[in-house]
Amino acid sequence: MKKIVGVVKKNIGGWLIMLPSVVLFAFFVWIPLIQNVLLSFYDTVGFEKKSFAWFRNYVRVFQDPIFIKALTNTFFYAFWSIIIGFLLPIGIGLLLSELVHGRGMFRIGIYFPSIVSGIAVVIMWSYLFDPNPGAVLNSVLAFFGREPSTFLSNAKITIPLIVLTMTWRGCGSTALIYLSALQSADNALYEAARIDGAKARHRMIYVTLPHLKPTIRMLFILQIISVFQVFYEPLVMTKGGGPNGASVSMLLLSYQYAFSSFDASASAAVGVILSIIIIALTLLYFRFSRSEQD
Amino acid sequence: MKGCGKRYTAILCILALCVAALAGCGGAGGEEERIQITIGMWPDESLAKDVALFMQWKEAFEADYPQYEIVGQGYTYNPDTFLAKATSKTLPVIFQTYFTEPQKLIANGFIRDITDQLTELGWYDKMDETMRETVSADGKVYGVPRDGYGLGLFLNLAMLYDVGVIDKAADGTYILYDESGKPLYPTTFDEIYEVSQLIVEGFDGAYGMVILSADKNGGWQFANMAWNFGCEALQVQNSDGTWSANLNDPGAVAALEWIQKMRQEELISPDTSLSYADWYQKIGSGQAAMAFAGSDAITLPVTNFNFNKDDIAFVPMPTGDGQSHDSLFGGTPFVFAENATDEQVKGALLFLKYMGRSPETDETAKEAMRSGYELAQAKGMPILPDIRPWVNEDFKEMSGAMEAEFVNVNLAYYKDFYDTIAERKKGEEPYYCQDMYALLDNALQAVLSDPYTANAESLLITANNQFQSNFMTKVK
Amino acid sequence: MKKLAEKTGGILNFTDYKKKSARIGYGVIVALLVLCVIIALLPPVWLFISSFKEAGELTAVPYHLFPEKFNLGKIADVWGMIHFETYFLNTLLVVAMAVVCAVLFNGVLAYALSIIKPLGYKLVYGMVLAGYMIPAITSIVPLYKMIVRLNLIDTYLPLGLVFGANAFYLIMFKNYFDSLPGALFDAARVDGCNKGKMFFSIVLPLSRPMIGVVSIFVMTASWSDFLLPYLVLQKEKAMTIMVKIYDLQNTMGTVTGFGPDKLLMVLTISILPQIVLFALFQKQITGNAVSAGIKE
Repeated sequence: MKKIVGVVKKNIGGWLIMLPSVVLFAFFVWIPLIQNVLLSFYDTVGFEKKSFAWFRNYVRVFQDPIFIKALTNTFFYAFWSIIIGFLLPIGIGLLLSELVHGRGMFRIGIYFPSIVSGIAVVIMWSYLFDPNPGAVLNSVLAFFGREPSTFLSNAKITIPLIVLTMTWRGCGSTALIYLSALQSADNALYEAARIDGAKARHRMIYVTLPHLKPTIRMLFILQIISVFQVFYEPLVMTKGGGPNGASVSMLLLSYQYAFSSFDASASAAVGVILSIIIIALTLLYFRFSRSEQD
Repeated sequence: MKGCGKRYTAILCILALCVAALAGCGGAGGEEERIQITIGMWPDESLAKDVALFMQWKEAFEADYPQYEIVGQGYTYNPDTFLAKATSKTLPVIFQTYFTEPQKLIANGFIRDITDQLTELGWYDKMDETMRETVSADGKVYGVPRDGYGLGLFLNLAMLYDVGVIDKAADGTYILYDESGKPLYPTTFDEIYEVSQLIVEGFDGAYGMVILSADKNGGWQFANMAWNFGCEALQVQNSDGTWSANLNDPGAVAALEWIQKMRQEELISPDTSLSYADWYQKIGSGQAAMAFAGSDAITLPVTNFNFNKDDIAFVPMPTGDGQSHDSLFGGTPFVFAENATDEQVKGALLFLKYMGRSPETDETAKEAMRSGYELAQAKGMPILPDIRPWVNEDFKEMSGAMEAEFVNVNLAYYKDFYDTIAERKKGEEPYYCQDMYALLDNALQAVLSDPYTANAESLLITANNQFQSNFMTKVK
Repeated sequence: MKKLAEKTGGILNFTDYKKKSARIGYGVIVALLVLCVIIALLPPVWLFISSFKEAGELTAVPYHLFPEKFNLGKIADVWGMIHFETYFLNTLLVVAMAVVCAVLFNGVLAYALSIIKPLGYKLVYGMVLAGYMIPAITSIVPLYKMIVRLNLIDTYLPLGLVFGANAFYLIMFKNYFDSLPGALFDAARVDGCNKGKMFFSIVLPLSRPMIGVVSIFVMTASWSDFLLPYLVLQKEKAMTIMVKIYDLQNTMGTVTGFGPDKLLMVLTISILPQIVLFALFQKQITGNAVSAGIKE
């Protein structure tokens, strides 16, 4: 008994300090997460649980062709965001760090899109991607003698174009993070490499990239997390994931189930499946990066 | 470490201020004794003249019924946010929704039964039966239609004249009929196709027709097209009482193939995200010469795009099979929040009279209707005949007289539509309409996105199977 | 070209630049970056120019870039229709709350986890990490239900507080605190500062650079936050600028007199205050500070 009192006495201050933040985490993250898992096993009317449904909601969701589309789209989003959204900022960061003239100006210019708020960006680009042959970007294409494109209305390029829009907005700020990582590199290493007579290519491979590695790893994770959160881009740009579901994302589908079909349990099931995918990818990633370090 | 305490207090003070500021936001004073009626169709404050008119109605109403207080709570129905609003019980007492929604709202218990109040006021039997059915379930009424619409074909007469489809009289008015009285404007889908070819040849950057494809609006208009290509109904009841989806009916396939042909020959826009907000934009900016629209939306190109109101004609829906000319019929109903009290419902219904939206015909009602027209006139809006939800003779007489006084368009351009709508009107399909439209949207988008290889029939079979297994099996 | 001759670091350095090919390479680098800047700036410039077009001009064929006339009065017209000041103020309030909450709650928890380490702190940290990768909005329905039950609809409280429960910021703080010298805290303990005082008098002042970094992250994130505000703020008067813009584009068909040309002007106006803020904090935002938090 005394021991317990002692332990409480010693820790009570720390606990009290943690309490408000822990309450917030519970309210915004943990409780909803657990309730969502529960919800996915129930039949619902409106937002309320009715009766236990075992795995019925999951079966139902997997039988819905639009879910299969959302699932595959999610991986297409990830693929394109790695191709476009992940590599481009590294390149720009490298270019910027090699620059010695007017770096400040370039930095502002490249960062600029990041200050435009997300909804404004996607609405602006949906107007730029006007599919009519006489519209703005098609006029540009015509100027270069190319055939007009239907842009977002062409199911084959909808996702890449959405990723391009996201990249346009996010690329600058990410590039600047790489830039400052590059600038913090130890100049002595470069000096040594130069004196050893290493070629530029070798300096890049043996000095620059290893130095950049932790940043690259960190931003890779962030990139993946953000691509799984694709939501309002297709909501706005393709009016909810068109054409014919070609750009619907899992989060958007989860939202549509809940708020337009009034189907909370299907929405919860999609949310849980998405969480499982994210956790699996994270574990896989840590597995890889650990074995690499060994 | 003396600074410790001070800084601590300062930060606490800032936090306390934040909390106080927040608490200040939430509170709202009000008089307890009066029954508050929140009005969802209250106009946005940016529309000063409309707000003034509502204030005038509010004052008149509160003078006659001092026990009530009218509170404007502008709310535009939006399927995306509705559930959020209903769950939080923050819906206004009375609000507008689409004609397509009431069944879904009733089934989920979000709007309330107002049969008793309607009967008490003697309005029940004065309501148009087709319209009443759309807001009823199990013999109970859940809403009051504001007005009705029928789908029809909107024409840009100036463009049609330029390519020689119609003629012009000496006084500058258009001639829509030949000597034998046969319409010169397109009455079949084949004719729309031909006129579209002329338009595309005659105008740079213009399409013949607007075909909607997103936000369930595509499916909504497509349903009407399918009917007119000979599809009896997209949902059919079997002999055992169950229901079957019929989205791949030959009529529906023919309609989709027609759209595919239009797209292949670039007579319609390739855009797969066109919704109802876009038709008048395309029409208003001269990007298309024809569009399907509801009769209650004809004025939008004029009000939003300065379209010349004398260049508008609104004619019946074309036919695909040579005989069906159905016009999808719906409108905007007023419905009542599930948690509204009997007293609130009664007050809200009575307020409709002060808005000129009731079957009453006394001086107050007349004055209200007149003031509505006068506002439209002052705003320079084109005023057309309305499809009214009330069918009592004295009301028809009053509104007829009012229309005769205020209508400011050339009725010759609308005659065919209004003359035939009564016999050609057709209510929506009975179940899960919005979900059906969403699936039809998908088929439409697939055809528009990939016009040369898409197979209309197999797309509709897919939609049909999905609709059958996800929705029609739920119908009891 | 003097600067090139002094360049010692980086992939290409002054020895390389003695060669002509490398100097051409540098030209290519500059050209590529100029291209990047053009791509970054052209769309907003296009938006700015186009927002002065009249409704019909927007879709005129053949396409012409410039409006027939730059009617500056259009800004006032649209402002008069939309009353931006309300939405800007709302947004500022939300952003300010988000910043305060994010710094305070994540900072305090990180302090507890990194320095005080009361019993069970590992469990808490484990739970935070478990929820790290999962975006909170995957469980939007239960979260929304709780917000409704607590009567927080149309208030800014949840929108600010949600930033107080963010694993990413928490980890940034924790890593930073872990790197602070422990001797500092021992000295404070000897001085008799209790745990709460120690946070405000030592940890906060020391972590000013970290607070700056987190604040900038939070500012950008909460300025663009969409889903939760969209669901929570239903009263028009309470909307943030993001929600209002979405609302405007959604109801464009139903509001008389508001067409796409006005929407573009709304977008233009919505970007202006951000440009001002950016101009003021340009150094902090694009400077090295941002990356400080990323480093492991």
